[in-house]
Amino acid sequence: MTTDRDFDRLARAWLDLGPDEAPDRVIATVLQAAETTPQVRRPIRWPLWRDFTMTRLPIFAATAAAVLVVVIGGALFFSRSTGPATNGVVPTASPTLVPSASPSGTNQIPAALRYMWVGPKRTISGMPSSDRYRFRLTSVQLGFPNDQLVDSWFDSVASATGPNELSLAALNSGTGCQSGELGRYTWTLSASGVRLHLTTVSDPCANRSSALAGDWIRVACSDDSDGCFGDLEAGTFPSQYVAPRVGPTDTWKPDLGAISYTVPDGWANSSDWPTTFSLTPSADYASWTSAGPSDTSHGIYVFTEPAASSQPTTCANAEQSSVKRTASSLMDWVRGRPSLVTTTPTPITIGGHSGVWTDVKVAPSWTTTCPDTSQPTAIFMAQSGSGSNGWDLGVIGAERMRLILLDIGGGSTLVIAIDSTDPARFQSLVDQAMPIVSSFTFK
Amino acid sequence: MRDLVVKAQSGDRDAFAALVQMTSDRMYGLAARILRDNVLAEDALQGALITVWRQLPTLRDPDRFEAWVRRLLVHACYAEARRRRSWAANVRVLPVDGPAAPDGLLSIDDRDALDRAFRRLNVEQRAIFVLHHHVGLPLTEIADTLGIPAGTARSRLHYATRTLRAAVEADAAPVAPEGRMA
Repeated sequence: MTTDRDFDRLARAWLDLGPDEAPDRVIATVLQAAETTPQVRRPIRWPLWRDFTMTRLPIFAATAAAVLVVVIGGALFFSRSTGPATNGVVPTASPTLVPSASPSGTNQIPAALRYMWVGPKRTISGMPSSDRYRFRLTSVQLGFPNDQLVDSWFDSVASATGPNELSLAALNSGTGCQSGELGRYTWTLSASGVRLHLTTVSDPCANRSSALAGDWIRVACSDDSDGCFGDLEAGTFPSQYVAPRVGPTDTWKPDLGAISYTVPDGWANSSDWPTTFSLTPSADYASWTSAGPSDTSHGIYVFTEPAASSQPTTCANAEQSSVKRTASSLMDWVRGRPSLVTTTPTPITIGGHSGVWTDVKVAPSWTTTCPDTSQPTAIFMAQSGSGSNGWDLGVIGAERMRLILLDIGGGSTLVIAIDSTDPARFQSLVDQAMPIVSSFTFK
Repeated sequence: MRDLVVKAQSGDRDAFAALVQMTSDRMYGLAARILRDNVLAEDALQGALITVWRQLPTLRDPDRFEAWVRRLLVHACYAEARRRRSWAANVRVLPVDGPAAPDGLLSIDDRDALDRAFRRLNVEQRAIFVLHHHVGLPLTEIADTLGIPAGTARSRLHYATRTLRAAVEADAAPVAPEGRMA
């Protein structure tokens, strides 16, 4: 038995053992980022973008005056929904209404529009080229950040000036418009509010018009550290961040549509990260919070560039470099794990790429736990990416998983796991998920 | 420090660099102790400090700079821990390197027991335990820093302390000689 005082002394002594010097590389990275990252300015500037810090600072050097980019691709994802639109307003050339610097409550931007919106390549003079573009509306402002984190273009005071009409007054010169330039746009939303279409009524800032007019998808991720779409509607959507053919140490950047997928109503894009991506039934996604998911799993999970991983007693990552990173070799590895029960492998073709799947669960005889688990735990794959980009894959307790391994070309392999920690719901999940997985296509 | 904060709020990068130099060691130590993983701690520190730079103009009271930074860092630790957990069947937790205990108070068995028990705590409980026992903050200040009710802070600390204390006491009981992982 220890007394309170004894324990407090022990605890302090134990905590004293940790490091007390920040690595120089972290400080250097932070200071470098500060050189190229604008500060939030109240009240005329922007709240912090919640989905900017995707990995260990994927900041790319901003290029000078970029060349015009011809819009290609993306039509599949950004074509209008077949569902009823919420307006049928035909734009008119009525006189403009100059917004005040702080629109009143009556002409604030409607709540349904106050999101980040993502769209495909388009022609924006002077802005570094990107595979995707995005803008954000708050109740009173619009900003158009680029993926290099260095600028927010077209910062404008935003006002609702009609039932489905908004006006944008440029706040400053030098980032695409001249200060005070006033543009007018009409908007339509799909019935679920997931897809937005903007039409220019008039805008003396032609560059802003080129940037904004067209189709957009709503970013409404529950996890405030992620930039996923959140709840979807029936249709085909692009991924934003996951990079199926990029290894853990390769240069990475957002790649709209690296994976495309088609979902029925009732699904959500629950996460989108350079090395991982997931789709979750909306009913389960409703329990996710701003901090992410609970400890349970139920959905479709994609993992890039897997390696075989053994399971030492510490459960630390132990990649097996002797196992080839191909679907067949990795499947052989999985089937050879004494910790697992697997079904007979079945060939599958997804997006024109060949693969193989098996259903896995923890073997009844397996009793090994990990430092963070209380139930038998079987780990069999991993990617040792740095920091938050790495992942381990395994099953715990009664968890069930359909493991699909796919060779996607260029020597790259992809893991698609249909996984549920609730074995009673596993088969129905598989029945719902397989058509979605079968719809996957890859750039 | 106040003058540096005010300058940094107006965009002075040299002032911000000075603030980073003044606070980063303490903040890294805090993150490393909460996360028990040096790589994750680096990610948390990096993300938090960049957020500090971007959001500095929104800090209303420059005198509360360090508490504000601490709050951002703890939330960055939450995000790192959960991001890791959401993709992991088990979270890989690496040992934190450090010097030996200064006065022989802490046996290897105690250290091992505390290490293992600490990993069983969730990140919120870890944060409060570290803020209380390592940083030395009273519960009210912890609650204020983290933006949670004082009762919540107290219950989390109570649970964390009970868990860790039970681990140490169990460790003190006679055990078979095969011992445990070092």
